[in-house]
Amino acid sequence: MALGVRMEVDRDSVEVGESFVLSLVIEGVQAAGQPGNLPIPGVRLRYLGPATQMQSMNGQTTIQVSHRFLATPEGTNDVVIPSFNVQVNNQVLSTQEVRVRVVPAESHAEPVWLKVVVDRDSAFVGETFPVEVQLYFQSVKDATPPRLDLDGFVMGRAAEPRHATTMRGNEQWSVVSWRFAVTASKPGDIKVGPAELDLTLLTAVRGRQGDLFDDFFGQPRNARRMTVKGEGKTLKVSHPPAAGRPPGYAGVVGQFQLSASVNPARVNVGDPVTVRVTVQGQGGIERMELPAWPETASLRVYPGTNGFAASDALGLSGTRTLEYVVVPERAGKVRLPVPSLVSFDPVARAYRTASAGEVVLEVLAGAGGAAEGALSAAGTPGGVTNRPAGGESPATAWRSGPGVRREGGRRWGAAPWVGGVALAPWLAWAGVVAGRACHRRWKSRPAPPAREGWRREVEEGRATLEAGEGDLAACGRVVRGWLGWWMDREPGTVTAEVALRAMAEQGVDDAAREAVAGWFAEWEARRYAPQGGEADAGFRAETLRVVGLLEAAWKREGEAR
Amino acid sequence: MKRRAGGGWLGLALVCGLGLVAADPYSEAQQLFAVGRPAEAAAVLGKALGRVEAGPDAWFNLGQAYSASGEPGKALWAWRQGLRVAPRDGGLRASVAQARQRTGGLGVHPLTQWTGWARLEEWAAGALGGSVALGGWLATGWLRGGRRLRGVGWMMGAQVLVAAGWLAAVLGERWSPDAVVVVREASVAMAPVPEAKAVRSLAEGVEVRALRRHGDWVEVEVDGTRAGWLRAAQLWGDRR
Repeated sequence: MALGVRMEVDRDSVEVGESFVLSLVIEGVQAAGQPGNLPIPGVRLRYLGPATQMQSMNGQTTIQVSHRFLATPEGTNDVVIPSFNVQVNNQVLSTQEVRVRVVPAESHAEPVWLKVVVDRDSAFVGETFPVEVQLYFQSVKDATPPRLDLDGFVMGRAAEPRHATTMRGNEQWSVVSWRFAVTASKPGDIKVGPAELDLTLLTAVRGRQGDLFDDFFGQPRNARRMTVKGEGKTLKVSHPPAAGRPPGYAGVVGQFQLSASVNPARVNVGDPVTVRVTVQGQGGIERMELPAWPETASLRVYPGTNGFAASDALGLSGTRTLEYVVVPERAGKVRLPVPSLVSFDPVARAYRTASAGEVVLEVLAGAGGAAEGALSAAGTPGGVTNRPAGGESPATAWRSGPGVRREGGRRWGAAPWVGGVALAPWLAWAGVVAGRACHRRWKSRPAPPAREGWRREVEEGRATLEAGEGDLAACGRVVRGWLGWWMDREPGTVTAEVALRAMAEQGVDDAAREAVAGWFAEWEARRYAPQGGEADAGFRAETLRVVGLLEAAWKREGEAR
Repeated sequence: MKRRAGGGWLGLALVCGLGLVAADPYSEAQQLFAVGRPAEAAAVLGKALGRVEAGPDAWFNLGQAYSASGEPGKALWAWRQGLRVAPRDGGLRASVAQARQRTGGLGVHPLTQWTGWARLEEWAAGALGGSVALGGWLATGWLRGGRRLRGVGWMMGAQVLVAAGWLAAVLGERWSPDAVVVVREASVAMAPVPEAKAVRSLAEGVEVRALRRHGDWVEVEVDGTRAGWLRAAQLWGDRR
């Protein structure tokens, strides 16, 4: 994990007598000893203690230790926290310089107030600067974002609101700061603000003594919805001076540096190449555009994608990237002068011209030889010129290749059968998978219930008996099988007692019961007779009669139900 | 006697050969273009290309001839036909891009911007090849007792990608403009009747997508929005 140190403050501006929290943040360590004295001129420091923070984002864990100090400016001058060297894991790292503005103190008796803070008294048209709206309170809720009157200015980016605490006298106050980037758009004495926001003020109930429950549930409070207003600040906005204004100035205010690159620097005629121009600096850089590129006969320039990477939350500084697509039209070394950026530096109060020189492109005739003709001969392909421009021979715009296509001319690429063929392996695969699944399902299907099997055996046995065949065992399987099916009991366990008891419980008529009792007696006698195992036609008929009686009784029972 | 007969055949062949050279429309068009008669060159070339499946060079030359004749709409149409044949042709791409820059049109559908570097037939061939390879791979696995072969997942992914590219190319072409305005200024009517009110006009070279045809009228869409009805004679459509 990379080590790093930085200095953070929870407020950019404080009133005389107020405090702010200064944090020395050490990244990449889990613990760091308390730093020694930080010699900051004009500031009284009190160490508040360390805080460790671990954060995991996208699988990457970062850890940092913050040593926090309560800082109170002792004078009325702005506080400059210089760069410090900090030793971390045998490495010496440096913090950056931080500034905190100290503004005159205002006395407030109200429980909540709003303040518009602008760090300057004058500005130039086109200059971008920060505006801060601060809400002081002790107990409020449901506060809306501030509404800021910005007639004469254009609002840019807004930073996330910051919450801080400060000591005013002996009282602790909360301060929420909203910061905006604004750009002056017209000259004159123009006011930034006023600002206002809505909130619910919570105040203690008067004349009520605290009781035991207040410690547990909190002290009851009055809630009052209200609008808080804060006065703005009038700025003297003027145009940059006319004296010394260079040609090409388009109202850009700030401090900028320009650089340009091209990749690849070696291309064929007709191949587009991207030239990337980078503007770095401070000011209204986010929406900056460069002047048009000078027309040259060797190439054409088209606007490409632009981007901006801000260095701070308000986008007051950063890197603007402007891309241009360049199509070279002729072979050879092409020098492309990057447009200069003329700006007014509000700090030095002088005009500056930032230049990136020229981009050099080596253009080869290569495969784009035909394109060379395409772009250079007619001047504007698809244009309205009647005659080839540039005094070149029209023949340079003509290809000598074959008129007829080498490959087959029929357009079959959009034919629906192509989609069918593309889908075919998937359909086959799905079919195989589905077939296998069906096969597995069929193999693992549950066996039919045993009761149905018994019934089937009864029917088969009856058919055998009706055909004049079947021995004593077959007669037994038919009657006991039927009774087992009827009682939902394994036929082998059905005896005369079991069957007669169940029939009596179910209210089967006497005739059927007597027939069953008689059949069992006869069947038992035949089973254990010396010649046992034989069944003559009479017993087979008796067996069929008993089963018929049982079925009739069963049907009657069903109808009765 | 024999020598005289042989000389006659030679002379006849020379005459026929010269005649053929003179009749070659490509050479004729090139000559006309070279002497500063681009409109006639375009007419000769256009007539010739109506009979054959033209290659990218021929379409490029036709576009050049139309452009030099002051007919940017027809020039763009010709270059578009060339791009359909050879989508990676640098000269055609540059010419079409500049023509679109001039008219401010959006050009092709975003899907075609992704897939336009290859011809539809190339995408289709890729999809078919991937399909055959995947089918063979699956069949091999099946014949080996249903074992899953190594790399089948990669093959499936590749086949899906190529097939999706083909589908995107087909849809992109279907949703892209397929005709070009070839008159100086085309009035777009609200309805396909001569009395209909004109709602807007389209400049020469604007690319439109034909939605449906009604008699001599074509309902068109410009940059994804339904524009209205144009006379069919004001448009040149792509060769389908």
